[in-house]
This record gives sequence, C-alpha cells and structure tokens, in this order.
Amino acid sequence: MLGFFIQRVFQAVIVVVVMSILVFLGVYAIGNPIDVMIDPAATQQIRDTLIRQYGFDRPLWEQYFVFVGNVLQGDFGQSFVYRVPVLDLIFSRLPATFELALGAMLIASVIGIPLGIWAGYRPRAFSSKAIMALSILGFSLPTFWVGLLLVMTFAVQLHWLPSGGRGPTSDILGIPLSFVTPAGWSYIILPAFNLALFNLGLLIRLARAGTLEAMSSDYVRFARAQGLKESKVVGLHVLKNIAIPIVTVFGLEFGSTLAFAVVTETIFNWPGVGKLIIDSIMVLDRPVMVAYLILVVLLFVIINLVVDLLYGVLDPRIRARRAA
Amino acid sequence: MSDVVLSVQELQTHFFTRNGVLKAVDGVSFSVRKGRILGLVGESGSGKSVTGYSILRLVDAPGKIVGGRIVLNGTDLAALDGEAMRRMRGAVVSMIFQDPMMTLNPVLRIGTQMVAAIKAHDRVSTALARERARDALALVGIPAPAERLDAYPHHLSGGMRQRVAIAIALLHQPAVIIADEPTTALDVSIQSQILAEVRRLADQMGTAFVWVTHDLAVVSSLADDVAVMYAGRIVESGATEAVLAHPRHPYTAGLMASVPSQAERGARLAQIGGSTPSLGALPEGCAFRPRCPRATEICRMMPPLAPIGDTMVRCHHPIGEARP
Amino acid sequence: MSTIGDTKVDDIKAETWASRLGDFWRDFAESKVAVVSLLVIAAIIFVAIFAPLLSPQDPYDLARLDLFDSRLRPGTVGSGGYVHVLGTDAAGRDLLSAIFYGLRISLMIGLLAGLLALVIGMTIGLVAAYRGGRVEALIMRVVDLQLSMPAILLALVLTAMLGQGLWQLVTALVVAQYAYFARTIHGSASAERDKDYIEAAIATPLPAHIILLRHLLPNSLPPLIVVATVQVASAIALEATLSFLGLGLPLTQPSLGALIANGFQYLLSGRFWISVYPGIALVITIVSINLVADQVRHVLNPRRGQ
Repeated sequence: MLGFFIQRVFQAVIVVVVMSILVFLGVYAIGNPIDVMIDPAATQQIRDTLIRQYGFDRPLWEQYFVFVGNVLQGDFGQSFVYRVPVLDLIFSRLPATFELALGAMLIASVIGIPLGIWAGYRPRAFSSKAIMALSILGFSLPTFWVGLLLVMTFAVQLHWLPSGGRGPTSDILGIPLSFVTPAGWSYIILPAFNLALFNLGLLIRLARAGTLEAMSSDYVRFARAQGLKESKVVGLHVLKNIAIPIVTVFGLEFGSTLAFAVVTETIFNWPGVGKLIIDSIMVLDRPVMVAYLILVVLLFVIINLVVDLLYGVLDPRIRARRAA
Repeated sequence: MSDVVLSVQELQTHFFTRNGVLKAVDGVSFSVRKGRILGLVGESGSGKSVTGYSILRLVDAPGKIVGGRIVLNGTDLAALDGEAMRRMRGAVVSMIFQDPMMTLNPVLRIGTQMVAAIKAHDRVSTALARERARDALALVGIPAPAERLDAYPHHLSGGMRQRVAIAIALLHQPAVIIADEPTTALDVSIQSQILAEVRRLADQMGTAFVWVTHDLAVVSSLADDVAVMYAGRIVESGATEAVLAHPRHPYTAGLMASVPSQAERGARLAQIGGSTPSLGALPEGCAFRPRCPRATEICRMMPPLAPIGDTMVRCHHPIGEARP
Repeated sequence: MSTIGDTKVDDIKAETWASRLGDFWRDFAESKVAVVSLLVIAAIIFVAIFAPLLSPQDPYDLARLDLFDSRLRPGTVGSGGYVHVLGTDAAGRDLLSAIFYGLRISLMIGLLAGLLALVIGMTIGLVAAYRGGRVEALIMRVVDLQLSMPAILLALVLTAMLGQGLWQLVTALVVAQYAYFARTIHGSASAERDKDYIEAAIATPLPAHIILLRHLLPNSLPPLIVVATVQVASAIALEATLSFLGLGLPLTQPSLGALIANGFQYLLSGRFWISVYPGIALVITIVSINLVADQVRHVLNPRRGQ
C-alpha cells in the first residue's frame, strides 16, 4: 500500500515537472511580452534595460530555473498588466469562480438527479424520452451559445435579470460572495445555470443508468415482494445505489467545471479566474498565463491522484465482496 | 377443505413481445393448504417461476396477467388495485428468491433492510422494529442476531443470507410464501439445513409454501404435494409420494429417470430426447408430443387434466395404461 | 482449385457483410429521430459543398460588401437588389451566404480534426495495447490525465500558443481530442489482445503491423465509429467556442463561431439575427451529428436487450 502510494505521488511529481516545462516553453513561444508592456514609441535603450531587468536576454533554460526557484518560494512573478503579484491576482478572483462552479454543480444535481431517476424508473414513458433528449442537448449544445440565448431571453427581452457582472457581494469570513443577497442571486443564477448544463446532462445519464440497473435487480424485486412502497423502493434502495458513482463523478467533474468556467465567465462578464485568463491571453500577460496553467495542471494531477489512491484503498473491499 | 389458503384458478400470464405473444403461463390451477408445502416442478422455461411472480403480481413488462383468479384467504389478488396489492405483499403473501447474493441490497445494512420491511406494514418505532428484526433472525437459526443487524450482506455466507431472506419473508407471518428455487445456489449440506428449517417453520407457524424448483430430490424431501409444469401448463399433480412412486405422465417419468439417485450405479442416465420447445413455437395439442415416446395422432389434441387414481394427469396415454 | 475455394469464401464474406449492413440499417432506422438527423446532415453537407452556387453573395469578397447594407433586418432588400432573407451583419454581409460559407469552414475543420485525431489516437492506443508494459503505462497515464481535463481548456491554451490560422487551429483540436480515440481503442484492443486468437497470431512469425491491422483493429472498430462521430461534432463545437472567444480563424473567413461572436455585441441592442441565425445552424449541425451517434451507439451496443 505504501509502495503504491509513493509510486503514484512520484509519478504525479514527474507529470507536474514535465507539464511546467511544456507550459513554460509554450507560453514563451507566444511572443515577446516586452512589446505588450511598453509604449511602441519607447527608445531602444529603454527596451534593452527592461529586457535585461526581466531576464529575457538569458538562455531559456536559465529563465526556467529562475522561474522554478521563484515558484518554489511561492513567487509566480508580477502581472505585466495589473502590476501586482500573480498569485494575489488569481486568489482574488478565485472566490467568484468557486462560487459559480459550486452553484452550477448544485443546480445540476438538484435538477439532474431526480430527472435521471425518473427516466430510469419509467424508461418507456414519453416524459423519460423527453428527459433523455434534454440530456443530449445538455451534452451537445455549445455552452457559449446557450449562454447567449440566456442573455438574450432573460436580460434583453424580458429584463428579468442582469446581463452580466457579479453585482453586490457580501463578505463571509472575509470572502466576497454573491449568494447572500437577493440582488447577488439575480446576478449568479444565469451564469450558474449556463455552466450547469453539461453536468446536468451527465448527471441525468448517470442517475438513469444506475436506476435502470437497480430497478431490474433482484433486491428491488425482493423489496417489492416485502410490500415496500414505491417511494421507499426508490428512496432507499435505488438512491443508495446510485449515490456512490454520483459522488465520485461529482468530485471528478468539479475540476472540469472550474476550468470550463472560462467560457461562461466571458459571456456573463463574471470577474473570475476564467475571465482573467482569457483577458491575459488577449494581452499576452505571460506570468498570469503560466501561473494559471500550472495551477490547473496541479489541480488535475491532484484530483487524479486522489481518485487513484481512493481506488487503491477501496480495492481490497471490492475484492473481498467479490470473493465472499 | 376449508383450510385452503391459496387457490390459483386458470391463471394466464402472457408476454407481449415484438415476436408475438408468449403464453408463459396458460391456464394453471392449484391450491395450497395451511402449513403445507407445494412443490412446483419444471425445467427452465416451463413457466413455474412466472407462476410464482404472478401470485405476487410482480411480473415485469412486457409480461401481464391476462386471466384467472388468485384467491388468497378469500381475496382475489388479481382484482386488487395497486395499493391494496402492496398491502398484501409481505404481510399476507411473501417471496424468497433464487440467488441469496442478489436479493439483499449490497449497500444497505441487514437491519436497515429489515426495518424498512417491517415499517412497510406496521407503524412502529425504529427501536421496536429492530427488536422484531432481531427476533426474526433468531427464529431462522442465525447466531448472534443482534450483531447481524449491523452487518452488510457481503459479511455473511450464502446460506446465512438465504436465512436472512427467509427471516424477512416471515416478518409479518404471511399465510403463504412463494419460494423461487431458493436453495439452488447453495451447497448441498447448507441446502438440507435450510430445507429442514423451512419444514419446521411450516409445521410450527402454519405457513404455506409454494416451492418452485427443477430439483425432484428437493421436492421428494420437502413437499407435501407436487405439481409438474411443462410449457406453461400443469401436466401432473397430486400428493408427492403418489406422483413420485407412480408417475403417470411420460414427462414426469422422464424427469425422474434423469435423476442420478434413481438410476443404477454405473448405468447410463436416461435423458428426455429433444429439448424444451420455445414458447413462441409450441406444437399444437400436447406440447410434449414431439419428445414423447408414447405419442400418437390423438395427441394433436390438447388432453384435459383428468384424475387417474390419486393424481391428476394431462395425457392421452398415461403410464400404467396399455397403449392403444 | 484454390481460386474457386477463395471465391466462394469471398462470396460468403461479401454476403454476410451486406446482410450485416442491412441488419445495421434496419436497427438504425428504428429511431425516426436518427433517420431525420441523418437526412439533415446530408443536407448540411450538400449546402457546405455547393455553398458558392447556393449563396446569393460571396461573403469573402470584401470589395463587394457595402457598409450601407450593414445590420439589415431579415427580409430587407439591400443595395444588391435582392432580399437578405436572414438579414446582414455589421460588415454588410448577407447572413444566409455567410452561414453557408461558415458551415463549409466549420464542417471542414470538424472533419479534418476528427479524422486526424482518429488516425493519431488510434495509432497511439494500438501501440500501447500491443506493446504493453511500461510504454503502455506511460502512454495511458498521459491520456488519462488529459481526459480528466476539459478539451476546451487545452485547445484554448494551444491556440493561444500556436497563434491564429487553419493548421494551428486543427493542431490544437487534434491534440485536445486524440486522447478520446486512444482511450477507446486501447480499451477494446487490450480486451481483444488477451483472447486466444491474438496470442496465436503473435506466436506465428507475422510482423507486428499485420497483427495490429488484421486482428486488433477490426474488432475495435465499432466503438471507434461512435467516438469519431461524437468527436467531429465536438470539434465543430470547440472551434466555434474558440472563435467566439476570439482565438479561432481570422475574421476575413468567418466560421459559424466567428459569425456568432461577431453578432454578440449587437445582441444587447436587440439585433438578434446576427448571432442567432448562425447559432441555429451550428446547433442543428451538432445536435444532428450527436443524435446519429447516439443511435449508432445504441445499435452497436452488444448488450442491447430485446
């Protein structure tokens, strides 16, 4: 078990190192950040001074090691545009993205799980077929297009909700959050729904598949033979059986939802990390891009690692169950 | 006979598939008295299990009960509405299934499943329900029943699980228990323990059993009466000793000849030639005709179920009568 | 003698293939929705191929565009003397023509990226399954990490790094998508690998590529077809999203995504058609492909119950 653990952590570290090199090389290839940073009319002398100051005249490998050294001390450098430490910048935007992603996951589960259970409980019903069509739409409609329609319908045509921005926030434990006030709600509901769409489709499918499987099982038949009410059959036996895969996927998908927020945040002008990275790509704010990408890689490597280790822990129990 | 608890009359259960109507159960009648065990014998596909499910009205689509009466303690189950039928299940008639691995929900504790079964019919506190559950486990001979309540099914052996299933079926002391091959998946020694337990419960508590099985050895050691099914119909029925001592229907005789214990050591086991006909393509008249050594032209007409001695036989040329 | 024997075998093979195809089509046609979707896809392909003949205007010919015609409502007659059925965009492009040409670009990019990702992913997955051991472990670890990330993120970063242009875009899409193919074919090929006939083939002195192509590939094909269909749709959606975010193709030759992005700023002022009509074309394309893929998956599913 310990050997397995060490091996996986070692692999994860290697992946992070390799990815950091790739990210550094890739971002370096984008273009000369000096052009972005200074007035095109500046003299060659100012240019040279700046290039030397940022170390852009050094060999690439040297720049990389300086960068890694700084990162290990928690210093990702300064944003060329905002002139503040990159890490501070990203962390100041993180609560908005987290709140949006959590709201999206919440909407997806509150709507998706009951619909999926129904579609699995009555697979032949017309309503179930409509639900499955909805899930296909959730998968295949491009997020940005749905976001656009949402803005057009609820903001432009009906004037029910604001078209973008975050609106008023209230601090809880020093973290600015939207969901505290009704006005904050009116700002978060559209983008959160937009971001929820993919997970909604996914959860409908998962819950349906799990319910279908449980409904045809002997233990549901046995529960019915005991005279359990249908609500109890579904609420106890079926729900408990689909809970495990759903919780797993929930954890896995949270990372993707955070990353996917890029699109939704752009449409709704939501001041999160996603909007930050798009803006940074547009103006070639290199340190922000590098830091964001490395954090994302780190996030996914950790998620994968946790899943791997969890399976490793769960494995003997599963084996024991099969052997019994 | 006033102590008849279950009387099935002309039961018809058909499956409406894309390839036509399959008459899985086609006019089956039998009755069971208090504390007695009826063995319902047949090969797979003979309709014996569907008969069992039909009694609890747990036939899955596309199967449907299309005719007949199922009179349980004076109530025709076939005429009840859904909620009234639910109240009967588990309370007046209950069921145990073939595979003890599958009939208990793997992710719920034994106690949780038993409490749910008790609360399906009685409004009692959870504490009281747990006490009753514990007593029920003790009744079927499970050691340390209080601790078993907190166990998951995979902690128990196959035989123990089947005892738990029987305990659950007995919770409300139903008049009849339908048992669908409940010992087939168990070791022979465990099987005989469970059979002895069932015999004791039937005698002590007066519970009647319909024991669905393909195993004549089980029937001979357990059942008071036996009904042999072939292709959706009963072909022979009567007291177990009478039928097994003097099988009248060629199919019953063939079944018995293929049981190893009946054959001489070293001799080749007899087989019934041919194979079970598919329900979609039954021959006209007696369904056993193509495989029957005694078949003649008259067998193209369906023989009636008629009394011969102490047994009822559906055959134009029963054994013991000279061939024409 | 042997020729006669071979011909016979080939005849039987051809017959079973034809009847298999017939069976497949019968099962597929059970879903009316899928059949309609297939017809829609055929129509879209037709429009994409014959866009120059069907369009009232060449939307790429900037000299012919008239700024007086910009943002005309659907159904207005422009300076060209014909009706702009779907209106015009900010540059005075006839939207119907722009959509026809945009479909062409979106479809081409989707097919190109899907096909390349198929070939590359298939090769990688097959090699991993065939070689086994460390090579397999390494490849599949990278593939799994990539699959856990949303493709859009990868494509976004790559287009930012590679810059704008058709091939840069296709490269980004392929890198973002090959992993799906690699994972799929690796799964089915490594299941096949453990079967006796492959071991028998490996024991004979056949070269590796023959074993891969003749034995592993055909049995892995059905799931691959489904993934390929889905990935073409998702490449189209990805491209549209990238273009919408301003990282796709240059605006002189707008794809559907770029057209939508183009109209986004006018959406808030109520000029919905510039964004909405290209969007509808995009959505119909993607949803049709996905519906067809869904039915193909259903038909090819070996566990499909009666």
